[in-house]
Amino acid sequence: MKFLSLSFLALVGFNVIVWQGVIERNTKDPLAVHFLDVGQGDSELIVFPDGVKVLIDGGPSKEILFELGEVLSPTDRYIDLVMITHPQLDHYGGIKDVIERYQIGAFIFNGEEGAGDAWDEFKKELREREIPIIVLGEGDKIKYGDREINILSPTVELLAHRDLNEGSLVAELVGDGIKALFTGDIGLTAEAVLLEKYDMDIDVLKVAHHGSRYSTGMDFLDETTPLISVIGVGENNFGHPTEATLQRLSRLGSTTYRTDENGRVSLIIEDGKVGVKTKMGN
Amino acid sequence: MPLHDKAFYFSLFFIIGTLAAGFDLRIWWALLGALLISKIFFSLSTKRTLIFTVVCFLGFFYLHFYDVLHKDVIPLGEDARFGGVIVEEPREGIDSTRVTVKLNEPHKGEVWLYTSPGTTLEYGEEITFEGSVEISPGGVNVISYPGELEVVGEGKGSSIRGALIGLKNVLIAKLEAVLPAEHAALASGLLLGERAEFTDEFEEAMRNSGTTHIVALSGYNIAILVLAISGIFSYLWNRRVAFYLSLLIIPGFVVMTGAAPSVIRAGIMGLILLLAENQSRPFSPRNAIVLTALGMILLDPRIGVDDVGFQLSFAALLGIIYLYPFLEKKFNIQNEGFLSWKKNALQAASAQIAVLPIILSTFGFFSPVALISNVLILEFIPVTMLLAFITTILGFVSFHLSLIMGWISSVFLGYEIFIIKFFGLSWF
Repeated sequence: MKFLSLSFLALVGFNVIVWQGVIERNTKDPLAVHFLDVGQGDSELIVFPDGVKVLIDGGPSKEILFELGEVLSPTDRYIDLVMITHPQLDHYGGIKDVIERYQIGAFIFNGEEGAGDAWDEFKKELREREIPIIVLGEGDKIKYGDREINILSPTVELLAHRDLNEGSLVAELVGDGIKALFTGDIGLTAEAVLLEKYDMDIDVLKVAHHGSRYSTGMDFLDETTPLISVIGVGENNFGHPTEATLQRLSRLGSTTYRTDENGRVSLIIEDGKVGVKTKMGN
Repeated sequence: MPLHDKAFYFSLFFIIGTLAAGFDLRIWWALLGALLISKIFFSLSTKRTLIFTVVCFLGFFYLHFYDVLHKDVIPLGEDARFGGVIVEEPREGIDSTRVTVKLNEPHKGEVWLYTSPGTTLEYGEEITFEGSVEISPGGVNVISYPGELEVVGEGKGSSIRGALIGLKNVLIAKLEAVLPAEHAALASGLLLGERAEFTDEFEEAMRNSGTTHIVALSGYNIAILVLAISGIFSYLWNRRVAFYLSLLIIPGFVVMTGAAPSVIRAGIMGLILLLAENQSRPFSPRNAIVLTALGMILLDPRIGVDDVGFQLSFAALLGIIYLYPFLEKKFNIQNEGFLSWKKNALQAASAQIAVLPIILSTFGFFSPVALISNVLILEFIPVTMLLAFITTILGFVSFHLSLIMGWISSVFLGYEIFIIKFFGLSWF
């Protein structure tokens, strides 16, 4: 009796997963950008329609694993590209745990070495797992089908800037009728360089440096005019996100989400239309 | 009076003595209590009553003696430089890492260091650091974010324990490689008692739903393990070999998982059960429980008073052994019902009733939904443990086989997590 009822339940369970897999495979998911809730730090996951994944930054800790566990299907253990914008712990701390548990196609960074034991340990881990390391900078491009990730920064000068933040990799995702900009922790200096060199009109902005007052200036916003802005932020002592930045965003009329209040923010993108899903209330 | 009765009473009154001392009872009250229990409750002769009252006094004395020997020498609330050895595996949580350090001379005692998440520290390393010690609400010495932390030596711990911890981490890594983070955390908790990666919300959900005891390695899991191991071994070889192998594996497992009181208790009970079976003697749960408690209390008499895990573990066991048969008769269970829900419900109820006073006095709340959540989960725990175990073992053979098995385990883990979270919502 006991054996029978257990096997019955097990069979029902198998059916559920098998069919779930079939159904998932048949529908082509649209392009998705997830702003993961990793506490005080940044982490964004881009999932292309056929499942190719690009992870930008990993937050400070293991928290990212729980986010990935919820976003990815249980058997999905491969991330094509993992990129960190700059070598600071609130951006790469969780990546160490990611490479321990997921298989990674390649690791991308701006070439600037971080400080301290944690960074050395991190690089050692990358080498031991034989993950290819790629250095990208201004002008580089990642192309996948008709979608592109353009690297707009850092320039050589910005990379040499004494503030690590200004040397962040800035990536622009172009595809499915939208442009999304991932800014790492850049400040006003790098923003000025970007404005000078590029047409910066975009639709979605990952607000730089967790909403610091020294980033996301009015000039930058006037040019970029993002309809949707997302701030990766958690409990912190820096006053992030600052009132100044929040006001600038609201003056522009940009719909602003923040991971400390909204939890994970997922953008589903199809033909220039963006659907927004948040984990917690709006 | 037969020897096993003498052993029982001796242990019991000794434990009563340490508990009385631990709860700061006056010695006269403690002795009076012992007299009354012995004379009225157990109806022992006057001579024996006197003897066991003296035993109770010995227990009372033992705790105070132990306290004097183990008094902490730690400056509180002022910055100081410390040196010490890491005596437990650093617990890498999500927001912080906890490192347990046994201090060197001139200080004495243990402190918990909380550092930023992620660490390179390991069990058995000797470190120096600066900080100011504070006492946590739970009565533990704590330093948050110690400064100038340096490793000055290694290999100061037990090498066997170090190796077992290494083995445990390899096993957990195999689970983590194929399971989503939350599922991997639960599977590691079930199999190996690793709780570091339970999120605060999940711990709270377990408390609220009254499921902490099944999903975080406890007597229940050890019992499953003992049965499985001796079953497999007696199938592979003969009962004799199985017996000796189990004798080795159980203590190893207890040490590997960090030797929490509930695990030690279950481990010792498991060993006694094995011994009794091997010697073909009747297994007396009464003596097994009391002797286990005595052994643990002799090692650390404070455990009975300070460690809620110890109290809950024994209370739940007493409930299942003494209350369950009573309830079973009362409700007159003929069949066990679908997925043995009647049996599980009654067992859960027995354990819950027995731990109720401790839960209420320690946590101030009680989970009224515990019965339902336990019934819904209990029956699936052994099969989940088995699947998770196969997943880890396959991890050594082939990633993809392990991935498939992990997928199957995930169905059960996902179901259990759902139930825990659902019943963990604030219902009242």
